[in-house]
Amino acid sequence: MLGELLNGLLTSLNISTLLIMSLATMAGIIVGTLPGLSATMGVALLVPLTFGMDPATGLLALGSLYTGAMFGGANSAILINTPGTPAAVATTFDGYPLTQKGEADKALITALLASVVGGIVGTIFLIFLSTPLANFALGFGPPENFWLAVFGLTIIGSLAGRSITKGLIGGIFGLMLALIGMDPVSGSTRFTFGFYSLIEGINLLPAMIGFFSIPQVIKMMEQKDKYIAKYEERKGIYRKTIIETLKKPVVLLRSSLIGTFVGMLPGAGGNVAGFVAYNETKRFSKKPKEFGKGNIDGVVTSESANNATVSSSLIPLLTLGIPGSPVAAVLLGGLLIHGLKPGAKLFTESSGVAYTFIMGLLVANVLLLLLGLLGTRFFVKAIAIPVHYLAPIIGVLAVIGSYSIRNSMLDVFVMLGCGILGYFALKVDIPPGPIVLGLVLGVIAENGFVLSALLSKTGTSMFTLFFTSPICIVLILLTALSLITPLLLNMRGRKKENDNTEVDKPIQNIGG
Amino acid sequence: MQKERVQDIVVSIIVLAISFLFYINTKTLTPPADIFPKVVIGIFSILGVILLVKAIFYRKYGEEADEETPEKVDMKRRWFSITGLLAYIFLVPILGFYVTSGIYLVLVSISLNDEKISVKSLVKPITIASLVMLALYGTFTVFLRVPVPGGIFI
Repeated sequence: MLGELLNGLLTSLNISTLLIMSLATMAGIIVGTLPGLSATMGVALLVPLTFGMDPATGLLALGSLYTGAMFGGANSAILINTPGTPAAVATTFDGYPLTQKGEADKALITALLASVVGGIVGTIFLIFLSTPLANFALGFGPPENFWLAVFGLTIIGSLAGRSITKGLIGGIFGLMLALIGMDPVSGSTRFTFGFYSLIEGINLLPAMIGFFSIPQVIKMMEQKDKYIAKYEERKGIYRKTIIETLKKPVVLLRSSLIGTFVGMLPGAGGNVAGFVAYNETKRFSKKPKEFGKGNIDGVVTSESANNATVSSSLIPLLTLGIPGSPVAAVLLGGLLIHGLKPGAKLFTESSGVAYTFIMGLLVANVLLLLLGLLGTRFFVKAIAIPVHYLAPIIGVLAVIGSYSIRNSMLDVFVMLGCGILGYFALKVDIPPGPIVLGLVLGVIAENGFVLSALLSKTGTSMFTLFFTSPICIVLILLTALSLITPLLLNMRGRKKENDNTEVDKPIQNIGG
Repeated sequence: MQKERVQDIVVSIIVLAISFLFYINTKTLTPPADIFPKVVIGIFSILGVILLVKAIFYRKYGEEADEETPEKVDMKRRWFSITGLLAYIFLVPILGFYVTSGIYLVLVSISLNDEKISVKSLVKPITIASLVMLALYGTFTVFLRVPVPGGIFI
């Protein structure tokens, strides 16, 4: 196997392959940066262009674009508070506050480095542990998916603004938006309120663009500031930020591992991974209150987690032939077009191409680092654009981004509706994060629940389905832990505060 | 403080109204498809009630809010931006994406700029809007071949 890996690495280091991969990575960064153009769309658009290439180069071009797009989402998330891809939603929480503090360059470099580390960790798991991990992912049935979604929903506590109640209202509202459309059991329409076109449901991407970009556009227009933030180029920021980021091995590794595990689960993906990793990093942090206000760890965790999903989402595809994410499904098409059969035989019948592809993903991450470092100097200039130009440009990008998903004006209207709703929700302290989280997890939770209910009709009781499998038990424990830990930490913090104030009190005050 | 209390009462009423609206629509659902929506709507309405109770009875209301500096908001600009967006999006399928977007970019950038309107001040927004439209046309229509909303024009 080691010989094949080395051969694969050497093949991917071929000059022409490197050139194609570099172009694909750059295209990926652009596609990811533009809100609405997702990694799936970028990979799908590139597939026809790979027909003329040899299979390994074609697949590497697709993998490089996927890697670039996953990072690209962070650029717009950090600079204009609009995630370029759903996976970058959690990056906005601390990335944009850092921009407002004049530290956009630091946030961008950190996001890049964290993305590269996450991508490499995910690929290492793909290389060495793909078969056992694929079997683990297969253990995820409807009840496990339901509990995964419930565990994900406990993150709302971390994303809520000043009021937990309002954060929960936002999260549950997101779940309710996910209910709109077709009933997964009978297929009949529900909650469309007379608008028949809503039968397709609320698509995540336009809703996400609306909730994040439109409130931002209105906010920029209603305030009389000339720029969104002050920015001055700082000497030595690259070196300093790289050293600072590498000094966070625990956050990087934990988030990358979370990304790897969540990414390989069918139906989850980069957005869920980003949310889960953000919650865990906040929970383990010594300064949890700084999260959401520009804590660099928030950017590190979200970006390393979402880029780790790039390789891990390919684990079920390459080992079992099951595409676990929309991008993996498009890549499956790419593999088939090049005459490759994903599954157990891929590593025996087409081992050369398979190992070149996997090792090439490592190379793609190195290319991402180099191109990203060059690009950051240009991306950061976006905040030097005066608000009276930038705000309408974001509005125009939001429209074209929402439309291009399904070539439907309905998605544009959904984006607008969600945007205006999101703006007024923000005014009453309901941030967009929990709403989008609810929308993402609502579909997973409902499908898991309904399919389990249908499975129970075959004889297994609901209790057995939901409470007895080892994965379910672990997820239930994690959910309980996620709910209890903040309460315990809060109580401990208050006790400490009380103890301190008692010690600080002057003696004459004791006893009145 | 009082403003925030009233705001929360309004939010809780809206939450309860939405819950009611969604609940009526569950009548047509058949089991087991109705369980999940009913649970979600139930939780939503409970949260609405909690917010209402807190808004009415909680005494130390909005203390933390007072610590933060209020945003400088120009109400005229707020409603201009919202109506501008609405008009822009409703005109896109009628006039076409590129033409409507170009006009929107020029009009918004001129009206948000505090400079006095003159021939010279109009040149920059028109040039920038044209360049942005060219870049978008090159990226979406020529390079990515992604369809954009059509209309009378392009």
